[in-house]
Formats: sequence, C-alpha cells, structure tokens
Amino acid sequence: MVRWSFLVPAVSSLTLAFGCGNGPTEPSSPGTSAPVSLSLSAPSDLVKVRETISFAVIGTFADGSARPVVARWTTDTPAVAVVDQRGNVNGVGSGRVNVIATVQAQTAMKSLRVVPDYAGRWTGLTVIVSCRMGDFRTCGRSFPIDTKGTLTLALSQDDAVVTGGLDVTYRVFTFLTDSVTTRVGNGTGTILEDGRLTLEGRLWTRLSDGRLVGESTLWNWMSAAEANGESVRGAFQELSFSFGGFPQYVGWEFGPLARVPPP
Amino acid sequence: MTRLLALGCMLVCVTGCSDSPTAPTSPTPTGSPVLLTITPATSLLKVGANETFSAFAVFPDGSGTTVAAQWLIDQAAVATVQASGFITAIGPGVATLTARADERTASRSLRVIPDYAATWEGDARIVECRDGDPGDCTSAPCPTRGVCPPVYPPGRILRIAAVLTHRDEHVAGFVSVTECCPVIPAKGTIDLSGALILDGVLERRDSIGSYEWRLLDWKTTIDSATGSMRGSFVQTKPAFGNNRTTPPTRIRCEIIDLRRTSQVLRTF
Repeated sequence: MVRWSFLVPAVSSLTLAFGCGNGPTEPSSPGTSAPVSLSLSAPSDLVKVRETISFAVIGTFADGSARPVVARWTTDTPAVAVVDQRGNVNGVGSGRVNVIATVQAQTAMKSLRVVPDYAGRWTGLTVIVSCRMGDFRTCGRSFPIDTKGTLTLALSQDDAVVTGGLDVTYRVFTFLTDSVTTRVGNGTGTILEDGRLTLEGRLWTRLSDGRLVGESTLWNWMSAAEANGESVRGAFQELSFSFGGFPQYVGWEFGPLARVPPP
Repeated sequence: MTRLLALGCMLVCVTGCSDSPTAPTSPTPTGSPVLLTITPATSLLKVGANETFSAFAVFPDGSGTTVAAQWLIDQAAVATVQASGFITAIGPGVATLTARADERTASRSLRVIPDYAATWEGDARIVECRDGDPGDCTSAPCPTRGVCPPVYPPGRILRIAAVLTHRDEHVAGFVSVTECCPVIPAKGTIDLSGALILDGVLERRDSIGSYEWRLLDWKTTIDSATGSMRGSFVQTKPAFGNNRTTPPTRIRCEIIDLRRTSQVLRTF
C-alpha cells in the first residue's frame, strides 16, 4: 500500500512533464534547448463560425532538426477566434485573426479568416421599401412600397464564395390589383472581410405556366448573419433600365430570415 | 498525506491539460512583449470612415493582452490617428499605421478610397469624334427626309448616368450614355490616387455575327469640395445598321459634372 501511494504521484509527475495526452511530445520547459525558429501550419486559412481547425507548431533547432513542440497558444482577437492549448482554433465571429504560438519567448503567427456559415435554406419576411421607375404606373401597380412577401434563399458556400437561388412571393392588393407574384432569381457573390454577403445575379417573374419574364438585375445585395448565425437580414435592389437608358429600381429589405432545418 | 499529494498532483495535471479555449489574457504578464500586433485586421477605409485600433502584446510566457501603445501615422493627408488608436480616413491614398509599446512596434498599411457607390447623373461634352458612318461626327443638316440618326459633333452635350457599387477598390456598375448607346455593364478599380478606372462592353449577336458597344478609358475623380465626379471616357458604337464593314464610331467625352442623385442605394 505504501509503495502504491508513492507510485501515483510519480506517474502524475511524468504525465505533467511529458505533456498532455496526444499532442506534441517535445517539452518546452526551461533547461531544454530552445528552438531557433517556429513555424505554424493549418489545413486552411479560413474557417466558418463555430467550426474548429487544428494548428500545429514545428520548432527548428540549432542542430537543424525540426519537430513538433509544445507551445502556449493565443489569438489576438478573441471576438473572431479562440484557441485552446492544443492549437484547436474555434471560429467565433467574422473577421481576421492572428493565431500565435509561443515557445520559450519564440513566437510564430498565422493569419486566419473567419466567415459566417451561409450555406443552407433561409426563409422569412421581405418588404418593398423603394421604387423608382421610368413609368411611375409600374411602381404603383406592380411594386407598391410596403408590400410584404416571403423570401426564400437556397445557398451553397465554398470558403468565401456563395452561390444560390432566391424566390420572392408577394401579394399586391390595391384598388386596381389583387395578384400574387413570384420572382425567382439566382446569384453569386462573396463574403466580405466583415462577414457580410454580397450577391449579383438575375431576377425574373415566374408565370403560372412556368415561363420566366421581366428580367432584371439583382443588384447591390448586402446581407449579414445575426443571432449567432441563426438568422440573416439585409437588402437588395432589382435594377432595369428605361427606354431612355436611365436606371429603374425596386428596393427590397428582408429579415430576419430563419435557417430552415435540413430535412 | 501521500494520497493527498497524489490527488493534488493529478489535479494540477488535469488543470494544466484543460482543452477549453481561453481568452488571450494573462493576469500577470511577465517581461517585455516578444510580439506586438494591431487589431482589428482592417486595411481599407472609405473617406470619412472611422476605426479604432488596438495593440495586442504577446509576452515571453505566451500570454497575450491588449496594451496601451503610442500610435503614429505617416500620411496625415490620408488619415489621422488619436492617442487611443481612433483613426479617421481623410483622403485617398496609402498610409502606414504604427503602434509602439515597450520597444516593440507593429505596422499596418491602410488604404483610403473615395466612396463612388451611388447613382450618378449629369452631363458630358464630346471633345472628339472619329470613324464610323459618314456624317456621324458632323453637325451638318440631315441630308435626307425622315428620321435622321443622332450625330456626335465635338461640343455636343450628352446626358450620362452611372450606377456604381463597391465595398473595396473593385467597382462594378452600369453606364448609360443617352442618345448614343444602350446601357453598358462596366467593371473597374479605384487606383492608388483614388481615381475610378472603368471599362465595359455590351455585345449583341445577329445572323452575321457579333457587334458591340464599348466603354473605354473611363477615368474619373471626385472633387472633395463639391462632391462632383469629373473625368473623361471613350465610347464606341457600331455603325448604322450594325454594319460590320464600317468601323465603329468613337467618341471621346469630357464629363462636365456628375452628381449623386437623390436615389439612395440602400445597403445593409
């Protein structure tokens, strides 16, 4: 029993001295040779919010050898990403962050971009907020301001590039008109450094027989993820041109669009 | 006693092996910083925009925290910085922002660009017209009865509209030169001096092949005092009837005064 009692702290001390679990095994305690340089590696320089990516740090020693070393990890912008002491970096918010490893006063740093996860289906309220047309009757008849509808997005995302389709269904109810219109479109765009999404593309009116008419340009789309990535809010414009060549707009705002759970 | 020691040692080990991410702060950073960075990572601002920067120091033990720093900027005409790291973008150009703390420095190149995102409308004057159909560039009376095609003699004023958007130095938009050409999609950049450089083409096809309108050599700047956009561009148009055997008419225009319209490009 006495022997066993001595054995336990000995094992614990060994564990402490040789690192924690399955990480790098090279200790960095004072007294061991310090690396002359450090380098960081990661499988990507971009991570989505709430996604985790593992960094590794390699030390190069005076004898020319290089091997993984135990480092103290930190990030300089915790609102964008945090790191644990195994080098696992977790995306917190949109932006760019420096991931920093320190070994015996040597540092290595790598920039990482964090972007929202826009992939998936989103649906929610949209409303016409502005209309300027060459023919003023068009605004009153087809795009009355404050008309509300439903916007559905289906987006896919490859790093910071987003593509997808949208579907706007709205009812115009005036003393002249009572009709339900469906506008469909597609677009492609990129996620800006601040996490907002821009899209450009085309929009059409889908008739009951499926034909697409009335093409306009999907213009000036800007949306942002909210509520920890669970909703999206933004605005866009449809742009076409009058016979004289001057721009005609319909401005929409939307949100919050809720993420539709996958089936 | 031995068991207590063992338990304590295991506790220390477990605590030391914690995997939970931690905020990059240290209650007692020791020594001088071994690394200094500037946060956030912003490197481009529009004229009039503000940003507050911070200095982040990493210490020999690997801990890191935000520290007070001395802030400098090398181009006061581009941006100014206060002691707190608060930046104001003044004018187009590139400046270097430097933070200094405990003999460590960090630098960031900052670019300031004008804000061209708007719907612009105004006038341009034709300063040169060449090639194209005979008579395109003259103000001679229409020699035939009926409707004559428009002509583009030097001195003639044309109405211009440009719808532009950009979040960084890459600009996209549409340019319309009325009584001349259809609306042309255009793309371009803002150069280091702050000038907008655009080019565009609109191609159409018929049974013979293709023909096109081109917007070339668009270069404009914004007068900071008046907000007016001025500059020049070249526009080409196919010959009458889209005749491929006649070279396109080429007009060079000086933009007299383009102004932002009341039509606000709503952005989120």
